[in-house]
Amino acid sequence: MKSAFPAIGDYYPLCYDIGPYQDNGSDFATTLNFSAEELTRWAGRNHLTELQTLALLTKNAFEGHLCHLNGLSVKKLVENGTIHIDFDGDNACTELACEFFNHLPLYQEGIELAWKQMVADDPRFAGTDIQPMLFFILTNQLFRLPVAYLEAFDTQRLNTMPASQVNQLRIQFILHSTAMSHAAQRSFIEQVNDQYAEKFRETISRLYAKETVLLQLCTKLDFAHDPSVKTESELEKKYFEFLIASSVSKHERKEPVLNPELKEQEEAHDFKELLKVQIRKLYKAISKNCSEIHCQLEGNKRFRQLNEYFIAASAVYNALYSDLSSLMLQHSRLMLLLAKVINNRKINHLPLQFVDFTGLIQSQPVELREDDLITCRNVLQKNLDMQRLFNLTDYKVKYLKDEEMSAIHNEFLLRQIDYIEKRIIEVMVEIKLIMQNKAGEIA
Amino acid sequence: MLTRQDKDRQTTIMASYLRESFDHLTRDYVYKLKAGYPALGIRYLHYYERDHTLLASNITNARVHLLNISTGNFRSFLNHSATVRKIRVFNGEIYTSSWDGSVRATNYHTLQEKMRLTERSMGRCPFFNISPDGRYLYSFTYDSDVIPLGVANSVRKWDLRTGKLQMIVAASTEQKSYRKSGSIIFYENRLYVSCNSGFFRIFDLNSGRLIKEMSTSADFRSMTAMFHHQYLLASDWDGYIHFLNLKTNRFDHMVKCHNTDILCMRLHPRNPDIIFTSSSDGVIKVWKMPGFILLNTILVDSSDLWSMVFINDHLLTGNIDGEIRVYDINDLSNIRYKGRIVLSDRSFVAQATGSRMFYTNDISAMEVYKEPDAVVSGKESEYLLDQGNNLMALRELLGVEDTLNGLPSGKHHFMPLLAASFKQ
Repeated sequence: MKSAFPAIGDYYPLCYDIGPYQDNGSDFATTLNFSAEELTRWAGRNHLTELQTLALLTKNAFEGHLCHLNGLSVKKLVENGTIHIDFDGDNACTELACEFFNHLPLYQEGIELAWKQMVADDPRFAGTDIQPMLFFILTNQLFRLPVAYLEAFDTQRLNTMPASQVNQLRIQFILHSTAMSHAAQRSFIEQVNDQYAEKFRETISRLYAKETVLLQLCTKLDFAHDPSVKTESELEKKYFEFLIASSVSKHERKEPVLNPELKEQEEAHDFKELLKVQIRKLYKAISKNCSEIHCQLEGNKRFRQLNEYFIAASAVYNALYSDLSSLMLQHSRLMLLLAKVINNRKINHLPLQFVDFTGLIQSQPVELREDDLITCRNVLQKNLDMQRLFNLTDYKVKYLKDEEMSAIHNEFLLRQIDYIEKRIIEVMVEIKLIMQNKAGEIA
Repeated sequence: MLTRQDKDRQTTIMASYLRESFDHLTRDYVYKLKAGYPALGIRYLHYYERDHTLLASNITNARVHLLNISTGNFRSFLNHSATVRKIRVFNGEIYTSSWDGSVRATNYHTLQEKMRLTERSMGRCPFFNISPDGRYLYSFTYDSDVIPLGVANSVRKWDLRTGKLQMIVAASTEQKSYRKSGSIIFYENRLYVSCNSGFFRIFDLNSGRLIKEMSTSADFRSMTAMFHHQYLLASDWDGYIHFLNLKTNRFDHMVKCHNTDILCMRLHPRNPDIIFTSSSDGVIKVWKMPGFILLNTILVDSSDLWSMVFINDHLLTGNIDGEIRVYDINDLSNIRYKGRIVLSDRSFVAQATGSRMFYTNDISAMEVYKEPDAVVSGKESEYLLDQGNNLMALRELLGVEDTLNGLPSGKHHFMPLLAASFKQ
C-alpha cells in the first residue's frame, strides 16, 4: 500500500480497490478519470459480482462528482472523510455522500448506460435490475467500503423485487440519507467543541475548576441555611452525602426521555424494531473489529484510531433512544464509524471480525410511509437546531476564526475567573458566619 | 442518588450563578433597542398553548407573526391583503379574519393557505367564532362596506369541512352611527350577536331564526361571557359594560368602566370571577364578580390597547405603539410589569425589566452602551450583543417551564456563553 494516505476515514477510494491503477505513481487527482467502460471491463476480468461492479461504478460517479463539482481531490476525501467543513467560508458542514445523493439523477442514467453496455459484453448479468441494487448500495453505505468485502452478498432477491418494494427502498434511502446528513452536522458540532476546548484550554480548565468549587460551596451554603442543620459536623455530613449522591447520579444510565411531540411517531413500528436490532449488530461489529485495543498490552498506542472509533461508538450506542428520528441518527453515526473501522482494518491488513456481516444490511424493505419521512426530517432538524443552540456552536466558531473576538472572549473568561475567586471567598465567609451564629444560639 | 429536591437545588444554584456572573461581567454596559426600530402596532394576540406559540397581527400590514416562546422560533405568513383582526388556532389550522373581507384557514405547520371563506357581498370581517361542535365557523362582517344601503352587519355560517356558506343572518339592519363594531358568542344553542347602532340580537344556532332583538343607544364593541354568573358582558364605545342576564335575556344594568371605548375583555385563565378590560384610554382594569368590584388598574402609558392574552400567569397586552407589554398577574393586588416584546415585520426583541439579557432573532436591532451614554462599537459590541442575546430572557419573561424537545429545560440549559466551559 502506498504511504500517500497515512490514515483513512469513512471512505475507501476507488483507486485502492483497483490496485494496479495506482502503481503508475500518478497523483490521485489524475487517476480519477476512469471511464465506466474501463471499470466494467476491469470488473469482468477480475470476476467481480454484480453488486461489486455497481459499487465500483457508484464510487466512480461519487468521486467524479466531488472532483468536478466541488473541486475536491480523492486525497482530501480519504484524509478528511466525507464530512466536509468549510471553516474558512460560511462554516457550512456538508456530508459529501448526501450531497452526491441529491445529484444522483444526474449520474443514474450514465450508470445505467454503462450497465447495459456491460450486459451486452458479459451475459452473466443479464436481467439484473440495477435500481433496487443501487438503492441497496446507497442506503447501506456500501460504496464507502472496499469492494472486496462485498463479494458475499446475495443480491438475487433484489433482482426480483416488485415495484412497491423498490419504492420502499427509495423511502428508506431518503431517510438514511437525511439521517446521515444530520450525523455530519452533529459531527461538526463536536469538532467545534473540541477545537474550542483546545484553543481556550488553559483558561477554560481554570474556569471549570473554580466554577465547580463555587457551585459546591453554594450548595453547602444552601445546606447551612437549613434549620435542621445545627452544627458544623452535621453540615459536613450532609454535604458529604450530597457529594456522593451527585457523583453516583452522574454515572447513572439515563432512561430515554420521550418528546411529547413524538407521541404520534411512537406507534408500534416494524422499522424501528429493525433499526434497534441493527444498531445492536452495528455496535457488536464495531466492538469485534476493535478487539485489539483490549487484547494487546500496547493496544491503545498501536491501534490509536481503532481506540478512538470504539470510544466514539460506545458513546453513541450508550445513549438510549426510542423515537424513529433519534434511532435513525444513532444508526447513521454507527454506520459511519463502522465504515471507518473497516477501512482502517483493510488498510492495515487486519482481517475483518464479523459475526454476521449480512445481518447489518437492510435488504428487506419494511413498510415506511411518506409521513414518517416528513416527521423524521422535521424532528431531526429541530433536534439539530437545539443541539447547535445548547452547544453554542455558532458563537464558538466566531472565537475560533476571529483573533480579535478570541482575545475579547479570553479577556472576559479571565474576568469571570476573577469574579468566581471573589465569590468563593465570600461564600466561605458566609458559611462560617452562619455556623458561628448557629453555634452561638445553641450555647 | 440525587433526590428531586437536590436536583432542583442544583438547577437553582446554577441558574443563579450564571445570572449573577453575567450581570457582574456586563455591569458597565446597557443593552438598548435601536432608535427607529420599525415596530408594528399590535392589533390582535392569540396564544396557542399546545405549541407555546404567541400569534400576533398588526395594524401596519396583513402579516401574522408566530413566536414560539419556548424555542424562540419566529415565523410569519401573509395570506390576507389587509389587517388581520382575529386569530384562532383550531384543529391544526390557523383561522384568521381580516379587513379584506374574508376568513382564511392556514396550516399551522406549513403556513400554506388551506381554505378561504368569502363571498362578494362580504365586507370587513373583524370577528369570527367556531361553533362548540367544531363543525361551523360564524363570521361577523360589516357588509354595508360593500353594499351601503344593504344590511349593515351580517353573520355567516360556514361549513368547515366543505367551506360552503350555510346561512346568513342580519346582525343589524341599518347603520345609525358612524362607528362599526361587533361580536358573537354561543350559549346553549343560541347565537348572541352584538354590534354598533345599538343592535343586540339572539338567534337559534341551527335554524338562524331570530329569537330576540334588543335595541339600545349603545354602540356595542366586544363581548365576553361569565357563564357561571349567568351573565354576558357587552362593552361599548363610551366605556360602559352592559350586563345581559342569560336567564332572562335582558340587560340588567351597566357600569362605566373606562373613559373611552373598551377594546378587549378577557376572563382570568384560572379564576373565572376575574375579568380584565382594556381600553383606548391606555388603561387596563381588573374587576371581580360578583359585584363587579375594581381590584386593580394598570396604566400602560400607551393608547389603543387592542388586545390581551394570558400566558403562564402573565398578561400580555398589545398596543398601537408596537409593544407587547408583559405583566405578572400572580398577585392581582400587585401586578408587576415584567418586560416587553417588540415586533417588526421580520424580527422581534424581548426584554425583561431588571435583566441585562434580551432575546432577538436579529442582533442588529440592538445596540450596547457603556454607561453613561457611549455607544460600544466594533467587535466588542458584537461580542457583548452575542452574550446578552439569550433565549433564557424570553422564557423567563413569559414563565416558560416546559419540557423542550425531549430534554429537561432547566434554566441552566440556556446559559450565557461566558459559562461555556460547562459544555466541555
